[in-house]
Amino acid sequence: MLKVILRRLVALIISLFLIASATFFLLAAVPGDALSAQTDKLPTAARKQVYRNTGLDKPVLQRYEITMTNMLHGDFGTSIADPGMTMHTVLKEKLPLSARLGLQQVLFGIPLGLLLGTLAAVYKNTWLDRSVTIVSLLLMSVPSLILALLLQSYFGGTLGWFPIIGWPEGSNLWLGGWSYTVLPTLAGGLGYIARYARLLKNSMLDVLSSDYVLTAKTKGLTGRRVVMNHVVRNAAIPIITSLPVTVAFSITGSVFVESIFVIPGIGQYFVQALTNRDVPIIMGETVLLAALYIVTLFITDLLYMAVDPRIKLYQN
Amino acid sequence: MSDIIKIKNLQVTFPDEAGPIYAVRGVNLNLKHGETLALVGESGSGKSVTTHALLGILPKDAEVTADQLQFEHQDLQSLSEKDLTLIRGSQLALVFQDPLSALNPTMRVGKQIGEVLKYHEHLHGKKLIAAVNAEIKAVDLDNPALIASKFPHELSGGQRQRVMIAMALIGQPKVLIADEPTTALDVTLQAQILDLIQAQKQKHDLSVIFITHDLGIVANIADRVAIMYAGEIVEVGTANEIFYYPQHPYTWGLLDSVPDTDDDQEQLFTLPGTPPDLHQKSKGDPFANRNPYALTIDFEATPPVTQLSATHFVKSWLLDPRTPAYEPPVSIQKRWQTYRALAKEGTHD
Ligand SMILES: Nc1ncnc2c1ncn2[C@@H]1O[C@H](COP(=O)(O)OP(=O)(O)O)[C@@H](O)[C@H]1O
Ligand SMILES: [Mg+2]
Repeated sequence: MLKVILRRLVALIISLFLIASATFFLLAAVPGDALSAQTDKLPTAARKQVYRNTGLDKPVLQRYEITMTNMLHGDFGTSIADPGMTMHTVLKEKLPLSARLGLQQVLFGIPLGLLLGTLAAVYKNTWLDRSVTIVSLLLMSVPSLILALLLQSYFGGTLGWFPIIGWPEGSNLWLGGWSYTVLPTLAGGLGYIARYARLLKNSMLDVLSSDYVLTAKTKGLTGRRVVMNHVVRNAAIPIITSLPVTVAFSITGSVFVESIFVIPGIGQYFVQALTNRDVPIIMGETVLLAALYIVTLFITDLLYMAVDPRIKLYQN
Repeated sequence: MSDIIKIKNLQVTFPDEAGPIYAVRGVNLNLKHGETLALVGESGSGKSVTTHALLGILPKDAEVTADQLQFEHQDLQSLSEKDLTLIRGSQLALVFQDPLSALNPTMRVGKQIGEVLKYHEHLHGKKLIAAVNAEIKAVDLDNPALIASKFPHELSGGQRQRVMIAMALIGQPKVLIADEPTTALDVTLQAQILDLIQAQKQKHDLSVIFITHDLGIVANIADRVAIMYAGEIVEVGTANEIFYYPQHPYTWGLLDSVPDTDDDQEQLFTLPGTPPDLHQKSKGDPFANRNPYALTIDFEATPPVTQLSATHFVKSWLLDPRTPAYEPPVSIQKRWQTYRALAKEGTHD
């Protein structure tokens, strides 16, 4: 096991190095940079000065070397477009709100989805099953944008129950501004309901129609025992193993939800950094996201091994 | 010998988007105490559905009717689901074709075998483990404790099928239904599993329904054979009657498609055509369109059942007294000759 973790760690570092390099050179290859817009009108001497201050005047390879060396020390540099911001402050000021919204969506959407999925599987071919199927199809096929706009106009506009957009500046990122989180939570959470309802329904139906469930019945187990001993664990496998990725994606912020609801989270900030060609922030986010997902996939693998004895990822 | 199972006029219909599927169409079948009855027919002829109807394990949407569905002295149709669960596993047990899919992939096989005793006899702990290990040993597997601790995918095909048999027999049932138990295995293993079933049958005084699509493998184990086609029993008789005095053209076809070990130059016969669409209830004999011996009447009316002996029944127009003379295929005529010769010697049963 230790060997496996070490091997994964080495792979992680190599992947991150490659991803960081690729990101860096791709950004460098595109004409223009974070300063071009604000320095266009300046006299040449002044422009040069600005460039020298940020280090953007150095040749690409030298900049690459500096960036990578700093990164090794955990320093992604200071934002060029938003002076004073570093990855550290971004994580402290922007991530919590995104993570909170994401967790709220997941905590709202997944349990409801699992409940509906179970009902749809148990009451297969009844009106209940059909409504669940139709609703989840709708939720998955109607563009989330439209869904979000509908929520805003009805609950925010017509009923006036919740603020339509925005975030009360200065409120506690984890505990404040509840009313502002309701609509974004709904808008993002509905997708989870649909996805997990379908996932669980399908996996339950698979298991319920499997030969081993029939075997369990022929052994004279009661319906309840068949479900508890033979259905639950097998049907849960796809759910359990998809959770890490879902949670990881959710806490790193939905660009979409944050943009529509004007929530100052990390998703929105990343988009801003991209439009501004803010290399340090882009590099920082890319590398951190990549690291998070690689670790998440590793956790997923471990979960697979834990819940499904057929899976042996690491035979020695 | 008394009947341990009696099925009369069993009908099973499945709902389907393209209209109802008439999977079992009036099956009459009895299993005598202590015998092995082979239920033979092409895939899709309704063999599994028949036995699943008996055990009450068909999907909820299946429509099951029968004039009689009896196990020993109990009318299975009148039993509650709770009483049925008491009978399953402890009285009537089933072994499936593909043990890999019939075993729970995420549960150790020892636990799966033990469930029968755990819930029927409330055995726990050391006693349960000992009983499971003893049963694993009884199906000729070495090192029972090790086998019990394995997951299904960690065992070989033959081991898995033995585990299935152990699981079926641990509750000491009176009837074992073996549903194509050897189809997924290679020839050597097939023979071993057949031997095992035979041995267990002797030891535990089991009555066995042995389902297969291959007449060849039942020759040595069956006391009686029932031939099934499109949801009906078209011929039933003692093994002797079916192998040496077959009357139904479908039985002829099945016999001719069994490779004969004595004769290597023999042309292997395959039945032409495909089984009928079970959505339709045909007007005449469902086998008519594949039957080289079909008469006009075969397309018009359901054939009657003719009784040839106390044990031999055939559902075919060929045995109607009005049917003009006909000659079965040469291979079948040879069988008939053997049968008559045996009859003369008075050695047949
Ligand atoms: N759950 C089901 N739903 C619909 N049709 C079924 C179901 N189970 C079996 N059938 C149909 O019933 C027919 C007989 O099946 P089966 O008894 O499994 O055949 P076999 O003789 O090969 O065991 C087949 O045509 C099959 O498609
Ligand atoms: Mg079958």
